[in-house]
Amino acid sequence: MLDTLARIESAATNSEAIHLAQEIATYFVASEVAIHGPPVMLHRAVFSPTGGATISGTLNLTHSDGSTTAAANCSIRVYPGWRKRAPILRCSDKWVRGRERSETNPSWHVNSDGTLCYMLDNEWADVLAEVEDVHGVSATLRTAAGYAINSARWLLYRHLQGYRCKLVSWDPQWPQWPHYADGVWAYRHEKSHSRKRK
Amino acid sequence: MKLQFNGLMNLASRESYLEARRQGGWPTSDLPYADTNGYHMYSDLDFRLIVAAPENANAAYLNLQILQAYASAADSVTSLSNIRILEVQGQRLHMFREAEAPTPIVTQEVVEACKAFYRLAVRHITVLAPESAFTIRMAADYGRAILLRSGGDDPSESIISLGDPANRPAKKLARDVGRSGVPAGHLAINETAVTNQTAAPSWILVDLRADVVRKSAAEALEESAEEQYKLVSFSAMEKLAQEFEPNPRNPVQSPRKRNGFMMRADLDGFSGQVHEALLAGNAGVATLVQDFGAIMQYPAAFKNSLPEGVKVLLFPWAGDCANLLLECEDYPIERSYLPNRAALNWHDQGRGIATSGITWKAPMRGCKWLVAIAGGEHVAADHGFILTGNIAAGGRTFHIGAGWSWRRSLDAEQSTSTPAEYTIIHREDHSPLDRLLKPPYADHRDHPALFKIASFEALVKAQREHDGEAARSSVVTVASTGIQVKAARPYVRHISPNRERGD
Repeated sequence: MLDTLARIESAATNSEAIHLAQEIATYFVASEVAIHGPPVMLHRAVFSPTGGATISGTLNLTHSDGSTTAAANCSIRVYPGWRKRAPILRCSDKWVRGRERSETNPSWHVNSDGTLCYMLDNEWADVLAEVEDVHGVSATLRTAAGYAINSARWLLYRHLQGYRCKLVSWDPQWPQWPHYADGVWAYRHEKSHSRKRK
Repeated sequence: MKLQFNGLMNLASRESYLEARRQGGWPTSDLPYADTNGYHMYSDLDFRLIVAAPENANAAYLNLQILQAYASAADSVTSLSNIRILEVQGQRLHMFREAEAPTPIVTQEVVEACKAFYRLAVRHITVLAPESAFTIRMAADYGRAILLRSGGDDPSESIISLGDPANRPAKKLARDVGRSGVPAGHLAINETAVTNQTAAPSWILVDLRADVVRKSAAEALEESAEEQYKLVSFSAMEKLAQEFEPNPRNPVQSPRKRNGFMMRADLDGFSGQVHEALLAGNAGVATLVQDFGAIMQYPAAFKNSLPEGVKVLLFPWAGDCANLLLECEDYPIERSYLPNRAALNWHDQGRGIATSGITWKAPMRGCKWLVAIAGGEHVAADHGFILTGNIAAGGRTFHIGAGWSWRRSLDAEQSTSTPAEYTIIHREDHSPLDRLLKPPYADHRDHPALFKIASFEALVKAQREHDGEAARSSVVTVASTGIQVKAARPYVRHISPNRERGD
């Protein structure tokens, strides 16, 4: 029984992940969506880390803080665990910074696996939880798509600016969370402070 | 290093120049030059725009073949006379007849050579492009000028001229016929230079299509040049089949297609400095040559200021005008900002320190640049590239380009009523700029349908605002739901190789 319920829930979240991917695809100038095989139950209520979908294509970089005709060739992978983990961004355009040496990766928010970290997962999860509480799943999926895309564009545009200005490292005037665990701690601290102010 | 004119011409080819430097042990900064009198003749070939500013690779290829035929016509005539080719700039040729004085015999020789060249060029270009309407216009002036062999990063085999008799006929040709320019099929000669080289020019027109006074001499030259043309054009192919820099094995018969922006930078007011140097005697001339040699290093310093996806390809200097291609690996990305960045970096560099340790201000003598840039719309209009090739003439090679942006950047650079330290771009290059990079531009007063123009100060202000925008991160409302979400703020995590992502 538990396994059946787990399978149902897995199928539902996988379906939502695919829906989110399709919403994200609408922001691309041109794209393809590849739907991955659904998660498979490995043992009791534990599933393989598969499923969801990947969007690949051309994304214009205009966002909340910049208007441009520049575009990036990138991919975004949405996993079934989308509520807790922001979609994964990859971009192999030559102007993306931080690839010269591994020690320059963190400065440009390039994760150790080459993906681009445009979002703190804790922040992503909290925002979506609030939206879902008030507006339901459908609105949450559309909001998640807009939120992810704006943040992805924001980061990619700063990489482009770094390329244009020949910056070696992230401009300290540009907003960012501290790296690694310090970033998580800083977010929790800020969240706790804002609750107290309310 | 001062030389006689013939000595300078002996160093025109790269091979002989490098060999002479090796043997003589000159430093790179010591440019060979001649201070001499003579007739400077310019010829401009104008096509109906669709070929002159080729819209696609096929038209650009034909353009290059036509330019080789044009140069070969000049080569044929000059090889049979006392005239030498100084520069081949694509549709513009610059020839020179050294002469102590502009005697009637010398002047007549120049006119007859121009006529023989005109007829030969028209004949051979018509063979290549029988359906294309074209015109050839020429201008000539006499006087004293400084002739320099190009140096620095510019690998060309041009002889550059500084001085009024080189400057005036070039400017005369740049003017539209409606504004007292040169009509098609004519040669404009400055008649006051014969009597008083410092007086304002007064141009008389010679119909190149009409019979000359010494008919038999002119016809003989033309017939000989026709025979010579066959040898010259064959020799051009042989020469270009050899390996050479900067375009190995790249004659105009096999041009290279390069994506990017053509950029031309003219040192406004430098002609006045040349004039004063000539009046100041040998020491003044030597200092001017030294300064110009330093200025020729300007593009080499500039290229290091650009992002790694942009390479700078130098073409020969045209007097005090630098000509470069900003070759782009990813042209669409560069369209969003590069015209502004390149112009700013070029203008701003003049306020800084040269690699030699001296300030650029000193050799520039207080003059400022006018920058003209054209790239073009690469999708709908099939612009955004040029074809490059080498033309052989006078035993040397000349690196030239053909394409829409080659021509449009030249039109922009030669446009009148443009103040110093301004930048002109084509309208097609204004549209794709980032939003905050557009405001500094206004319509060009004389060519509002074609060009936009911006001052250096306006570009600086816009760039500052544009760069400042990157420090902002705003709360955003998702349009499809009207729900507000947090401002973007990136992070970085360490990913373990075994990390599962599917929870």
